[in-house]
Order: sequence, then structure tokens, then C-alpha cells
Amino acid sequence: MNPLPRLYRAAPTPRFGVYLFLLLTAMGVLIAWLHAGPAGPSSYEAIVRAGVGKDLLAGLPRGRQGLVGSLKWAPLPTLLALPLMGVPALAEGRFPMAVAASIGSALVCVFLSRWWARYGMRETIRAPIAFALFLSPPMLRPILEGSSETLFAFFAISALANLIHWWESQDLRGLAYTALSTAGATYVHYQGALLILFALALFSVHLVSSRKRESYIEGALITLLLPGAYLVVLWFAANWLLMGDAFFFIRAIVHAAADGSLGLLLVQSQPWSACLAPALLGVLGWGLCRLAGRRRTLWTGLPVLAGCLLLWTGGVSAMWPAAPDPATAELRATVLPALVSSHFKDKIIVSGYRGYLLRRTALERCGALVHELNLYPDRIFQQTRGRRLYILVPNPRSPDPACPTDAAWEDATLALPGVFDHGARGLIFERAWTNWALYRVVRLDTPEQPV
Amino acid sequence: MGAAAQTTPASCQAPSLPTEALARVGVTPDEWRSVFSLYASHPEQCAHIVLTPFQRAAGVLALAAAAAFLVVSPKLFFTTVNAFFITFYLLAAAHKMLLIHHSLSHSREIHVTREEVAALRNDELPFYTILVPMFHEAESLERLIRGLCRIDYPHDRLEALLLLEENDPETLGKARAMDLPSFVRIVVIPDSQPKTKPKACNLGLARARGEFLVIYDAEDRPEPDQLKKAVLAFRRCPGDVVCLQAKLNFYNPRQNLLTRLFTVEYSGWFDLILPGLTETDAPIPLGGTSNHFRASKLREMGGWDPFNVTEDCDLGLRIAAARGQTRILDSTTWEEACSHLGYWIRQRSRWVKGYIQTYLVHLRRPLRHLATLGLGRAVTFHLTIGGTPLSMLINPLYWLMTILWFIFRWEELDQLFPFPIILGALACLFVGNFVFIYASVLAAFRRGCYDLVKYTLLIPAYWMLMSIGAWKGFLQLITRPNYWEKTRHGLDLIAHQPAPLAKSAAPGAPASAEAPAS
Repeated sequence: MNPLPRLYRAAPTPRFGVYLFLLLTAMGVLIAWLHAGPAGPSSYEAIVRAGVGKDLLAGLPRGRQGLVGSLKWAPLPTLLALPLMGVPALAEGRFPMAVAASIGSALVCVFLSRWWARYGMRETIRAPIAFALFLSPPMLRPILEGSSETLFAFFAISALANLIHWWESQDLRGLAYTALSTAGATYVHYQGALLILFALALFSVHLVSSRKRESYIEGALITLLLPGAYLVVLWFAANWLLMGDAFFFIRAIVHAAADGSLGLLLVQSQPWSACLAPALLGVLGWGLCRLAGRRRTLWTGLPVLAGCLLLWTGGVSAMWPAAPDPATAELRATVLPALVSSHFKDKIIVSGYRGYLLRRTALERCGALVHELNLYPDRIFQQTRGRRLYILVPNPRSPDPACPTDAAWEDATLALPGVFDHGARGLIFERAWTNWALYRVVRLDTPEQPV
Repeated sequence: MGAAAQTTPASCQAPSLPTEALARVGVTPDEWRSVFSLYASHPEQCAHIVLTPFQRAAGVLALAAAAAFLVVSPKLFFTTVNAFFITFYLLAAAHKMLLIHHSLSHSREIHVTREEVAALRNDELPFYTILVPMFHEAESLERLIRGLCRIDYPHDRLEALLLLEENDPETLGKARAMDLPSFVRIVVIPDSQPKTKPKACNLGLARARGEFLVIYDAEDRPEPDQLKKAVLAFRRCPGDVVCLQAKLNFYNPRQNLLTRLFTVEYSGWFDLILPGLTETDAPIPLGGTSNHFRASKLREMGGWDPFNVTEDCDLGLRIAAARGQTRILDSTTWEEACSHLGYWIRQRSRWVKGYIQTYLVHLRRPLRHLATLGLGRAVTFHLTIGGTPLSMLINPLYWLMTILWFIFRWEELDQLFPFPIILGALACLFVGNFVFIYASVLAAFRRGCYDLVKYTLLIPAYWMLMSIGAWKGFLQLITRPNYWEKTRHGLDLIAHQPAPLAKSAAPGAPASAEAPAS
């Protein structure tokens, strides 16, 4: 008797997916814990989100601004990790974000597993592949570092799969879940808005080619765009309520559009490879399934999927371990010791999200750190009367002049364009490193708004 | 609430009526007793009283404890109450999301194809009874008869019983004057209390000869092959399927804004929520019409509760409690959406009052109820039957608090929302509300009412109307628990008539019936 048909089942079983998800998430959390304990070395993102979450839980205005006031740090990952940030033993470091990343990685693997089930692949085959995928660098690295790449990947893949499903079947579920997934992706990374545009473009092509009636097009467009539109409106409303400026969080876009770096803003810091690779897997499987027609057998599905998996895992292994952010590395290795030794009786202002890098460091412990998300020098003058005042600003450019770092869109650079190179009114150059510069703030006869 | 003072007897007599009064309308004493068979055999399942002594005592104790709590620590009291409501909102939103996901992902609706219907031979069809309760609906009679004649079912195997009230001479007289088809018969309901639709239906059940039975309202337009589909569906289902609920929707959705939003709401209920409930094996609160029953099973269950103003919802729950099943039949009955705000609020108040009534009836023995349904189905029962009126009642309070906070930023309000309640509250505000709005979008789209999708963005305004109706119903439950707010039908016809006729449809027209508990 041929045993192969027994390895082969078409219908995805929801309970299998739930068990697989729980198991993978638990495994991710365990790995994150064992790797370096709950407060091990963190990615920049994990530090920022942990800081924002902590401020939020403490009821500080900085926390509320941190949640909604930046395009780069879209709120969903912080909100997901927030319950864990309320646990004192877990609040510090990357662990809450590592849990969020574990959930993201598990979702990606389970989602792909359910997609593969449509080839007729039995659970005993899908489960090992899902585990292998979960342990591959693109899935594991965000867990170890506490970043949100896999959450974004999940929403991106879900959007793609559901869009394909809708394209094929006109099923409302496909349309609704595409809409929700693209909106979710946008709330993880703002670049998800590109997914909305992509879905809209495909959708429009389909509508035009299929000549649907006007009311259908209208209804379908509302169904597709409403979740994204709602989230965007919510974001504007939150900025209006908390910051007094509905457009506050998109300042960087205006700045980038002005200096022609809008394209870079959209792709920078966004791990598209981590999203596109699993999406590619899914699409290849889907294409294979279409080509195979009714003969969706193990023989057509499994080898190609395994090949894709190997290719992907091998291909992106080059990214492992990820190169540390040079600015962060320099800050910890060189800048911080210098500041602590020379300026422990002064005040060092670090504005924007980079300030979170200096929280819980010797600089803060000696009382020298002033971390503000926005620069308000008058207020700082009042608070620091009698002490010398400095401002630490990041380098907005990488070694490649055409490629700015994301510090180009941080608060200090937006408020004081060119400050890294030329300083500004009321600032006297003190010292520079490769990625940082220190300026002394001098009192002026007339108050300035802002520096 | 005089009737509420009564205790629940072990068994009860049917409200007595002189034999002459019964004979006047051709009802036998046996038939009359069968109308109240549920009341006679299981009075604890009847809504003839609102609260049992046990419930009353428990309520008084709870109120006393709450009052003491309030006096000792007002801030903690309000925070606790707030936390309870926020938790409820979160659960309700999550439950709704789950139901919609199930509904979109799977389908246990029973689909019957046209080919299967066409393959049916007339001689293999069982006898079918249609019950049509009517009250002050003379204007709908001609349309009703035309509709009944359009039903694709052999007339020699069909009977339609027009259940007309003795004290509605206009409808009765017009029906008697009409040349009715052979399968249509008039059943006169004696003038007695309670004057409710389920009481009329029970008399119809006593007279019914069909193996299967369905209820339609006078203005209903079922798909012509619905009875045949129901027969085929019953044959496919196991014997414990007592009821098939056909989908309901409106034939006048575009009459005005109210009917548009009402259509969206109905689509959500019948096309998303009920299929989701069947998918989770939860108790199904039946819709008011187009319930197809196995007549024998229905008689075994005692028929409808003649005192309940949402007897349909109650019966669905009793079916689940008796380990029976209800399934959704993929066939639509088109009804008239109430297009007049005043009547709409009356109708809504009756529904909400009935839901609360039903909720209280089924919680007379809470532990037994839990044991019968099991934890999962019991949670669904609480969220669906108890939660629906509760959300409508407390929504205005939270809208007011939200508005006040945005305008005045009162610190007193902040104190009611400590972390993590504020997190839950924000989730309700920003996610929960979106879930309910988007569910409406999906409902309109799924029903194929694409042009109504844009109107779903106005659904929050409709929620306010629902809350008005809910408060009316809630207060009426205290003052007049068995008062039947009759839904006025035929407004769509009147809307298309010349002015003088439209004038006759003013809200003052007789549309209600007082029915004190017996």
C-alpha cells in the first residue's frame, strides 16, 4: 500500500494552527530568555519602545508623544508589548519586544503553514517546515534583538495572501482581511502604507478588467480602504489631541520631501527582505499550486517549498549576525565614557528618540542627562540654572553622502537643520566623534524658540 | 408591576375564558388549553412574571451590597463598576470579531440548489402549515394572499392559517369578505389577555395539520421555493434539528435613511452573526418570522411562551436548552423595514424588553442553566442575550463621559480610569467601535447591498436610536412588562400612496395592545 496519500491532507485544521502558534511563541520566548535573560543586549528599536512604554505607563507626556508622535515608531508593537512592560521584572530591556517578535514570527510561520495546507500538505510535513522556518535567521533575529520586523512580515504576507484569495474568488473574507492586514502593517511600520497602495492598484486593475458595476466598486473600495483610513485619521487625531498639531508625526515627510530624500525615508530602516522572503515563499507555493491544478501532491509542493526555504535561509544567513548600528556602538563605546568622565557635573541634552539610548546609563545616574523628545531650551535654562549645558546631536549622514541615517529625521536635525556640521545660534562647538557632535549651549540675551 | 408579585406555582391553569366566548370563535377548550401548555407544564419557563422571588431577593441583596460599597468607598465603587463595563465591552467586541471570523471563514448554512428543488416530486412532499398572525393589518391582506399564492408548493399539501384577533373587526371583516384560496383558512383568536403574537401562534399550532410549520408576518415575501428548500434541508439534517431559520432582510431598504441603516443591521445579524453562532454551536435567538419547525417537536416543547414579547428569541434558547439544534437556511424572506422613527423605536423597545425578559426567565435557575448549556454556550448566551440590551443601555453613559472628558478634561473622570482600565477603555473606544462599524460594512457588502456600504459610516447615529429604544423598553419592563408594542406594517405602501392615505398612517393610529399579565 502506498503510504504517500496518508501524508497528504487538503483541509487546514484550525486547532493545529493554534497549537503550532502557541508552541512556536513559547519557543521564541524561551530562546529570547535563554539568549541573555530578560534584560540582555537590545536593538535600538527595543530600547526606544521599552522607554516609550515605560514613560507611557508612568503617565508622562513623553510616553504619549512617543506612542503617536513619530512615523518611525508606529504604535502597534509598543502597544502589543505594553502589558509586559508593566511587569517590573520584565520592563527593562528588550524582553517585552522579544515576546512581541516571537508572536510575530510564530504568526508568520503558522500563516504560511496554513497557506501550504492548500497544497494538500499533511500536518506532519507542515509542522517541521514551520519549525525550520521559525529557527531561520530572519525569524529568529528579531526575537533575539526585540524588533518588530516579523510583525510587519506577518501583516504583509497576510495582506498578500488574502489579496490573492480575493482576486481568485471574489470572497469578501479576502477583501476584508487584505484591508485589515494592510492597516495593521501600517501601524507596525508606516511603510505599510505602500502595501495599501499596492493592494489598491491591483484592486483597481481587477475592477477595471472585470467591469463591475459602480455600486460594487464603491462598496468594495470603502471595504478595502476603511481600516487604513481609520487608522490614519486616528493617528492624526491623536497628534492633534496630544501634540496640538495633527501633522506633528509627519514632520519628517515634509522635511524629506523638501530635500529630495522621500524615497529613502520610505525604504530606510525597513527590513523589506525579511517580509519579502516569506511572501515570496507563499507566492511561489501559490503559483505552483495553480500550475499543478488538481495534482497538488506532495511531489510538487514539498520539494519546491523545501528548496525555497533552504534558499531563503541560506541567502539571508549573510545578514546574521546583524551589524550593530554604528552610531549606537560608538555611543556606548566612546561617547558615553567621555561624557561621563568630563561632564558629570554638567547637563547633556539629548533630544528625540536617541535619548532613550542613554537612559539607565552612567550619564543618567550621575544626573547629567536631560532627555526630551522636543527641544525647549528656555525650559532647560530654567531647570539647569548654574550648570553648564550641552547638547549632543547625531550625525544625519552615513559614510555614503547620498544615504542619510535615520537621524536625519530625528528631532534635533528637524528642529535645527545642519546642526551636526555647523551648529546653530547659541551653540558653540565642543567636540565631535564620527557619529555624534557635542555643542555647548550659551545663554542669549533674547530668548529663542526653539534653539 | 403587579404581576411580578406573584410567585411561580408548580403548575398553572390556563387563563380561563367562558366556554361561550371560545365557542363564539370556534375554539375548543382543549385547543385553548394547548395555547398555554408551556405555562401549565413549565411555568418557570414563562415570562408571566418578570422576577421570581429568588431573583428578587438576589437583586435586593446585590443592590444593598452595592449601596454599602458606594457609601464606604465611592471612588472604588465607580472604578469597579467601570472596570466591569469595560471588561464587558472588550468581551463583546472580541466575541463579535470571533463570530464574524467564523462566519466569513466557514459556513454551516444549509444550501439547497435549484436543481435539487426542481428534482422534488410533488407526491413526496409533506403537508406544510404556514402561520400568519395579523393584528390591525387589513391593508396588508391582499398583498399577503398574492404572496401566499406565489409560494412554490402544491396547494393540496399546504395550509395557511391567518391568525386574526376577534377584536380586530377591520382585518377580520376584510379577510372574510375576500375570496380566499382553498388552502387559506381563518383562525380567530378569542379576545383575551395576554394579547400577544405567541398566543395566537400557539392556537395556530393547535390547529396545524402540517408535518412542518413556518411563521410569516403579513408583509413577508419569502422566496417562492423556501418551503421546498426547508423540506430538503430537514431531510438532510439530523433529527435533533428542531428549527431552520431562514434569513430575513428588507424589500424597502432604500425608502429612507432609517431603512438603509436598519437593513445594514439586519444583514449583520442574519448574514454574519447567526451563521457565526451556528458555527460555534451556540444558542440561536430566532428571528420573528420564517422559522421552520418540525411541528411535532414544537408541540413537545410546549410551543411558544404566550407571555414573552420576544417569543422567538426565547424559543431559540429553549431549543438549545433541550439539546435541540437550530440551523440557518440559505433562503431569504423579504420583510418591510420600519420606516417611521416613532414606530421603529417602539419596535426596538419591545425587542430589548423581550431580550431582558428572556434573559431573566432563563436565569431563574442559573446553575442549572449553566450545567445545561455548558460554559462556552453560556458565555455566548450572556454576551448575546444579556449583553445586547446592556450595551445599548450603557452606551449613552460612555458617550457622555467621552464627550465630557474631551471638553472639560475633568480629573474626576481620570480617576475612574486607572491603568489598566484606561488601556481597556481606549481599546474599546478605538478598536471596539471600529469593529462594530466595520462589521456593518461587511454585512452590507455580504448581503450585496453595495450602495448601502457608505451609509454604514453613519451607523453610530443609529446606535443612539437603538439606545433610546432600549431605555424605553427597559423602563417599560418595570412599568408594563407584557405590553406588546405592535410593529406597524404597510408603511412602505402608504409612503407610495397619495397624501390623504399617508395621513392615516400617523403615529397616533392604533398600533399597540395593552396586555397585563394574567
